[in-house]
Amino acid sequence: MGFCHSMVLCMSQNKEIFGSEKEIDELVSSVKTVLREGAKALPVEQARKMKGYGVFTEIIEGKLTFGARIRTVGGRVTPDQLREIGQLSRRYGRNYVDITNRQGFQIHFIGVDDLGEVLREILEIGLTTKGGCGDTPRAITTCPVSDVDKEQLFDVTPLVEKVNRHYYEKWDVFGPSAIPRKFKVSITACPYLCSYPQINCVGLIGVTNDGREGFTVTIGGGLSSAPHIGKHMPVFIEEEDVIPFLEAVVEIWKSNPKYRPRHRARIKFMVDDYGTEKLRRLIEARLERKLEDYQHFPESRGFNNHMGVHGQRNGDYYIGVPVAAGKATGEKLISLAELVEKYTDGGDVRVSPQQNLVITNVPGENLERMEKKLVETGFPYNSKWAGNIVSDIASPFCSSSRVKTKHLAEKIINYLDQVIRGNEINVRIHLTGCPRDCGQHWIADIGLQGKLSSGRELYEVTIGGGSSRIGRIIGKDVPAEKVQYYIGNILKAYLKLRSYPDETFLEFCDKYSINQLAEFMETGFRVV
Amino acid sequence: MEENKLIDLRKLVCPFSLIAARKEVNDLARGDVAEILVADSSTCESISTWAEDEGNKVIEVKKEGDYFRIILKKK
Ligand code: SF4
Repeated sequence: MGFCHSMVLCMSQNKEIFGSEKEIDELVSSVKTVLREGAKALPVEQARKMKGYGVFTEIIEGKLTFGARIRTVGGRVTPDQLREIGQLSRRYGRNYVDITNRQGFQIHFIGVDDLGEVLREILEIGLTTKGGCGDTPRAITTCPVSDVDKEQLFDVTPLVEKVNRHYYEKWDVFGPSAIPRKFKVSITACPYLCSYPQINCVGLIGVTNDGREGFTVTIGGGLSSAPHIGKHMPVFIEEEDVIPFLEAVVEIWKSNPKYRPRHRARIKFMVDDYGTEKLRRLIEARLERKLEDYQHFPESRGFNNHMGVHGQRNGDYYIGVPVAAGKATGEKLISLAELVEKYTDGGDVRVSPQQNLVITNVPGENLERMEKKLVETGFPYNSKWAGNIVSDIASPFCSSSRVKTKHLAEKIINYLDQVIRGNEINVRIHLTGCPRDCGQHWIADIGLQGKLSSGRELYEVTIGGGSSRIGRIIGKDVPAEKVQYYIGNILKAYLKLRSYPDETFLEFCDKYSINQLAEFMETGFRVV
Repeated sequence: MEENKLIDLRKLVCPFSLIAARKEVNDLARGDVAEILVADSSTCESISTWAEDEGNKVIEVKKEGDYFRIILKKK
């Protein structure tokens, strides 16, 4: 039995901790009560119990609808689960599904009368929305191919499953009424750090120490309007010590009343105040032992979104399938599930942190047919750019913004596919609709943060971000209709002016001042 | 006569806060003023964006200690 299947089984063996029909019924009846009778009708305690259940209000065309965010464990879903998600979206969500950068799925347009049914069906297929939003321990991000890829240092998926389960078993320690804000963890042994551990509260990066497998730590990362890259805490932690370590961090965080007001409550502010050394001593005091030193920080080898065909350790192949800005349809997911069942050897599907999908266990003899079929499903399999672009949800689903980032993302993909070809360009573009930065624009090679001003969609452009660095702002108030050309310009300048063929976009950006880069952006076609 | 209504949603969380605000504001008469208190900035944004989209006039949004106050006039 493959890993994915055993992980799903783990979830279904003890469904109650991951969410229950009772909780769903209470949630839905409370929603209906408030809808009918207003705020006073809902006892505070009742509301508090339902925090962080992954359900959002989305007012679309004046009508109250709901969004449901489905968590996965490590991005893994079986073909059956994928088909069900597709069917749910077709039945209740206008055939639309968002693929999220915390490796989950989001269905929208759900009417109040269908909400209970949707949530129950999600539970029934061994997945959950509980812990999908709010002040909860969010889905642990990881490399989508950590168990099959040849380049991984070792397989972290069993640990991801274990920590995830632990969160739910100890909801009284990690759950929304217990922690001051959301708690984000990434666990990876991918040499490319494709799950961006350094933008998480805690990132555990696989290393070996005297032949032993374990993790070194980055702590205090987080984006939003005060972007922080996690700092290296130079320690070595073996797998069995990961949970006690995370518990110690959470206990220290919870114990200081300074981190209770929401705007100061993120772990990144605690790391600012304490520094990693003091924090390490506090953790050691809680654990009642010293942590082992580990000085070397394993930098990312570069950007790799695992798209295209790659050999697996077992001789099969995995295929990365781009999803343009994470926008999928129920129908496409259903078609993909069928392909996986038909042409893989017990393979499954993984959501990547770049909002794409990966299919595993494709035997060599089926590769060609699988690739041909993938094109037929309507996923942009031949697009050079679709897999490199990440976008938040923004308008119309998220009321924090009125800009349509996903729409712009699609325009950028179409434009760049026409004007910037060639496989050697490995540039990531991220869009986000407000300073909360769900689209992670600060760490993109090219980042875009939108706003609506006097009816116009305008973007701030950042450049030169990476898995361990924040980009520099090079443009303000760029009108949406110009963004694609500006990006095309700077990419053309990069292609023309890079010092050697392997020079990365980051290295290129570092050679120039902000003014020079801004000039390339505005007039790149003249420079080249 | 125009009413001035205080709607305290500080103890409510998503998804209830917006539903409650919508219900309470929809129950007001044209020209009534609502003062809505919410605990966090994202709820504050959702409610003010929704209120404006519906054509109400958002008169003021201010942070008061650890909560936010939205003052709006019903259309
Ligand atoms: S970045 Fe802002 S607009 Fe975009 S999804 Fe997050 S909260 Fe909504």
